[in-house]
Amino acid sequence: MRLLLKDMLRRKFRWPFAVFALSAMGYWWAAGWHHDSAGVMQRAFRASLVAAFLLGPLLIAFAPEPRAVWHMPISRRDHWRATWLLATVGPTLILGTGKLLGLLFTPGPGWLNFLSSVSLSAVYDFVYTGIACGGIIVLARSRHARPSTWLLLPRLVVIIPMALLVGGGMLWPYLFRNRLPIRWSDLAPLSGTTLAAGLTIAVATYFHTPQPPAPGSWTRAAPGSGSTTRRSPFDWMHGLTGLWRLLAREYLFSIGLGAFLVLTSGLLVFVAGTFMQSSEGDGGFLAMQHLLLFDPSLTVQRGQVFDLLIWLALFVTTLVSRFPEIIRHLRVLPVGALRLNLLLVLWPALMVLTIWMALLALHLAVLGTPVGSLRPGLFLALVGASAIARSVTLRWPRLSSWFFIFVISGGPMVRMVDDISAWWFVALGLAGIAAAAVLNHSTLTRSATYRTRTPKQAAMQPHWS
Amino acid sequence: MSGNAIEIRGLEKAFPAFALGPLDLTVPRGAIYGFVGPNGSGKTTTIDLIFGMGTKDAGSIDVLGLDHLKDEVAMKRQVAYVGPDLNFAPWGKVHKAVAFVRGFYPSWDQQYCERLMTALDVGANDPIVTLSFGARIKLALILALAWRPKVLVLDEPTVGLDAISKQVVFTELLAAVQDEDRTVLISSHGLSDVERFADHLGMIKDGRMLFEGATADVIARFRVVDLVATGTIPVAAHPGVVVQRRDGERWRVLVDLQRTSLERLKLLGVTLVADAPVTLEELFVALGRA
Repeated sequence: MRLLLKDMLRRKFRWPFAVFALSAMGYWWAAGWHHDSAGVMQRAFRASLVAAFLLGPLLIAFAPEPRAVWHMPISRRDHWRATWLLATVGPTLILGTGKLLGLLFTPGPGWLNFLSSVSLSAVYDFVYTGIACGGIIVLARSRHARPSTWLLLPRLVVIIPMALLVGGGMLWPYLFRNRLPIRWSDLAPLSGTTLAAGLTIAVATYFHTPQPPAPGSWTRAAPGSGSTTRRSPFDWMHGLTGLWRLLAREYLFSIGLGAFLVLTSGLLVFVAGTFMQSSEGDGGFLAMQHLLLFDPSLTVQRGQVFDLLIWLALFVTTLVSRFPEIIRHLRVLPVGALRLNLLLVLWPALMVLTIWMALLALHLAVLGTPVGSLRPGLFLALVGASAIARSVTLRWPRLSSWFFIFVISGGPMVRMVDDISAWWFVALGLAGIAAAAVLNHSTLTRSATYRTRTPKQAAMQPHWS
Repeated sequence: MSGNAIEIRGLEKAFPAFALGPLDLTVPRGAIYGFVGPNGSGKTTTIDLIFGMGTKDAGSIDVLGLDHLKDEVAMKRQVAYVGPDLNFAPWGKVHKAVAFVRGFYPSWDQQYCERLMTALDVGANDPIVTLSFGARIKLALILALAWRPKVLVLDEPTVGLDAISKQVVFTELLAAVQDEDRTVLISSHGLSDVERFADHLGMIKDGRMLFEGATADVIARFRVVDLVATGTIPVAAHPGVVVQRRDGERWRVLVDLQRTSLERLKLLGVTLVADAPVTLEELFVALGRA
């Protein structure tokens, strides 16, 4: 177990840990500076919970484990416990250190006054990451479900809990931040009991023993299914072949996933708005989400993270195509490198165009009036941002695990929609597209681009199953 | 137009820890060319460079008289690739991958495709993620053979295949070459298969071609010789001699008859005990270790 922990530390503790520790320092330094502001302190608590979730359950428990680890004499229970320690105690300690260091440099009334808050925040971090580990256990169990008839179901039982766990894990702290006691003395009987229950669940997850993963054969066609194709009634692409089939399939996939994410985000935004008692009706709600962006006068700058959630989902839509996964196959087919580069660069334009059309339809449906401006500058900027994000993940596949960074860096552009000149957006967009084209050209002519991805995937497996 | 299907001249590509070339490789039209070499010798790099997966530092690659970069698309319309790294999983089911690939090739033969699927036991409705490694290779082979390309480039196509599947694959390959004058470049570690089916051989080591030519010529070029020599006779330093084993004064060596002869060895003062033809595996091991 000691060796396993050491190995995991070496493999999984990377620069994100330092970044998040520094961010915790910053937040708690600010909290110490504004010692009389409960709002700043609540933000520091919230940021700590989000960082703990990202550093712990998300980064540690979801990272694939080399297959070789499973061939060593290590029990699944020990493996889970090592993972659990790194996913819960690890972030709590790292962030706790960051918080204390941040407070040390505070010129306020003395950092010792904040020890109660720091220790409570650390307990929250631990409980939150522990409960997230419980979510991982539940998710692993759902992966083992074996529905035999409806093939969509097994996908949904994986996707929905995954979305709730991953998406929700980062968002719940925003919902609860105003209700979290920030000192031990603030704990009421109900909040104290809830915290104790959470602590019990978090500690209990340590004693979990993972089951061996189920063989992935339950979707296999019956032996001797032969060469005759059984066409699904939902095969909308019947008759399409070659590149057109690829484009149609990726388009449907991206739009389908995007629609799911947008609807889920919309629901979360709605729930969050209601919960925080700032629900807006009809057009006001849409304006706050920047969804009526064709009428600048309607856009409301509120600054809530939820305002961006739908846009983040829309930005993801432009990036989820699976071209990188089949890049080697595409390269041996009669598709030139230039055409492939064009496909990679122009794909985001097609996706943003679809989003624009959907927003135009929404605008017309809600307001019933023609749009004020088509926002070509913002359109180009989003295309450029998506194109460069796609190029970077293709060039440096390891960064794909930091996919959300690209997403988070692209979405906020919408918030700046009225602050930045359209010409700046045009310039940014064109620069992004040009940079993406150059980077793609370099990537497509590198030998390394076509290696490692598949074997690496083959050699990995999620270790929480 | 050159009479060769693939002609590589002076190919060079440097990586931080490995350098390929200068490499010359000639695959005559209609040949089954076995491209062999130890792990990390540059086989896959060479094949990748043919398809533009990486940029060469120097040299030229012509396939069917077409420059592999200037005439990239025209070349790829006639050359098929099979390798273990191809990922078809995003397509979901086998027939969807087939529907995708067939659109690129006007010569696609659906009946032939279905015959191959039956022969190789790959079902049209099989979900690709559930296929075994060997079955995925079979799928790649089906997708490559079904449009009857003029040149087939196979990178480790028999990895993960059982003996029966291997037999079927090679039977199909032989039929393809005999029927239609197709060329096959096959990189493989299955030396016995290569020896059995390839009519031309090339062996690469540390990025350099050690030898290439018709299989019969290559096999005839080398002999395994048992000899007795005293310690003062410089057997190991003699050109064209690769020591396989030494036990005191008894030696087993591989002799390259293009560089030396058994008579010349006798002139050194050694006593020849026995000599025998070499198998490709013996050749591979001896030259690979040397």
